[in-house]
Amino acid sequence: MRDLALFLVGFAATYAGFVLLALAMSRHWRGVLGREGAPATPRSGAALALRAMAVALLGGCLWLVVHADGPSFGATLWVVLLTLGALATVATLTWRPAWVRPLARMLHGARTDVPQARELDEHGA
Amino acid sequence: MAGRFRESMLWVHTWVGVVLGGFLFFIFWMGTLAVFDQEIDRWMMPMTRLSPAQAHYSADEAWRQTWGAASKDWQIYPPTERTPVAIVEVAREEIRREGLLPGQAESNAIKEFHYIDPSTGAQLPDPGTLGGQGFFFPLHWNLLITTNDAGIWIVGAAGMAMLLLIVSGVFVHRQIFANFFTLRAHKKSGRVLLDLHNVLGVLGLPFHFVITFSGLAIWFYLYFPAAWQMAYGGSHSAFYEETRARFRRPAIEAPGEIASLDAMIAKAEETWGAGKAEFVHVWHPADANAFVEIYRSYATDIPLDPRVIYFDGATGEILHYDFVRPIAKVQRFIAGLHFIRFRHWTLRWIYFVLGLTGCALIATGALFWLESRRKLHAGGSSPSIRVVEGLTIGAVTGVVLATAAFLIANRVLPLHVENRARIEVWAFFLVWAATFLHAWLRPSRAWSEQCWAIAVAGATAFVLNWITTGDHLVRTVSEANWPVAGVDCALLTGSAVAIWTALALGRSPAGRRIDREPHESAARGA
Repeated sequence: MRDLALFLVGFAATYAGFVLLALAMSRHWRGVLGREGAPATPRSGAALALRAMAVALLGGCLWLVVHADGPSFGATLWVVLLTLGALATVATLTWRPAWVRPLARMLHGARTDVPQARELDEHGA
Repeated sequence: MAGRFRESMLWVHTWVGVVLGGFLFFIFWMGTLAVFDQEIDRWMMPMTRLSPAQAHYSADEAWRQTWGAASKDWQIYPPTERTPVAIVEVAREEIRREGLLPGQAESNAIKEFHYIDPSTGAQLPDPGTLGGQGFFFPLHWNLLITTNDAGIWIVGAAGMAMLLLIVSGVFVHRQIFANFFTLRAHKKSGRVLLDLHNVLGVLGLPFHFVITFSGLAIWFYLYFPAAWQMAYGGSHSAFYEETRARFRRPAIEAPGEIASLDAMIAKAEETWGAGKAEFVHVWHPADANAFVEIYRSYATDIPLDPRVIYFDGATGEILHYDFVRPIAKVQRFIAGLHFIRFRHWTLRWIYFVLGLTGCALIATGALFWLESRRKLHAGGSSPSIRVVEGLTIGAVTGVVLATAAFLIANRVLPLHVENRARIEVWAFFLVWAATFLHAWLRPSRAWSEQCWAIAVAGATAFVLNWITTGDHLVRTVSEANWPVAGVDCALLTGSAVAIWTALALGRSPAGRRIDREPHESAARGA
């Protein structure tokens, strides 16, 4: 039970982390929000925030599994969880982009509240 | 310059892939099965489907029962969580041990095998099969070719080729970062295949690289002998004794007796603190110079460090402690990553899944090459394509079908049939050979027909297990018989995937749609 819980939490963390990383890329940002006339890229502030959250999730996952399973099992588990999370991200973006759309919309909506970031758009992602 | 470098990498990636892709698929497939080799053994050896032994087994009892005192060599594998029977291997004649690999040159032909139910002490009938540990696992690392370690060398060459493919693949990939997470499933089949190949290759890279590298590192002293030959004057045993602190002593041809093995095991387990005894070896059993070698289980940690303790056979006193020196420990860690002898079910399952992604990576690469070649030949079928396509079909769907045939033969053959284990192996290779023949005779239909065959064979194996042993899925799950339930679920899942693939192939006739995207430069190179 403990092993299953650890796997689920670790997998959720890498999955969420890679979804956020993917959203910070213009290709997938467009792929998810495409038909809503959204800008081609997340603004750079949002992209940065997405990446920071992703790094926190992936790093937090490493801390968690090493803490729970010790350095050698933990590090090994983390590396293979990264692959699983990334593959799940690909599957989601390909076949179920709607799952990620609310999150992207939220970030997109937040954008209008911060007009000063607009000029950075070209550099975003 | 960068362009030319990429072109040459593409050339290497393409041709190594075309020539060795099928073989690499075979090694990855067998390795993936070997992740669950002991669970496959429970499925294929129904008499050993015992609930993990809580009852205390007695090595002394097994020693008496199998006439250990009248043997020339006696070994026991105590029951474990994954293999809940005690396995005793006895040799009545002297075993000649030679060659580089410890235990390698032991001839199994002169050994007796005893399977003992640990809770009752009863001897179980001979399983009459090589099973997962005796067939899939050795196929993975030596192809069952043991003469002069030729099999290990061939697999090693393929492993080097895989490393080359992984590294060249990174350079060949045009937009490794821009296309991260990208799979354009709605595009034409060539594009989808390349995207799949890229996604599996890039995202699975850590696992595929580590598993290939660690596989090579296991046999470092065979593949790269110069280092230890220089340092130890060519003496492998000197090298081995120095790095692993091994102990040996000869027989003195005077009669002797063995003290209590159970007491020695208890003493060893007390010395280790954590971990159980996994292997006990009595050397020169009836000799006054007899000694007992006890290995600790690998279950507790990744490095393969058995912390062997040697006991004097007659007195049961500790003679010697074996330990792995720090530098050897690095190698033992890398090898342990590959062997997964440790107890970690999450990692075991993930290894299995990622092993399958490795198979898919190789298969999609081969399919992409075929697709691009067809485009070059404008849909016609040149002889070279037909040869490679036949080889690919036999290597991919064929080996899966042969695996199912092996399992079906195991459930169809009665236990008393002479040479039962050998017939199972013949079933595997005959069906495999037939798939190649089929692929060349019916090139346009072979993919989907073999997928259908896999679907039927997987379901047949599942039903046959139910009929011959009564262990259907509801019962195995309710009794927590996870090895059998797991293999059954894998069979059904495999069948479902095969049906899905066959239907998908049916929708796009023989996958013959041709990718015409202009930026498809990889196709040009291929």
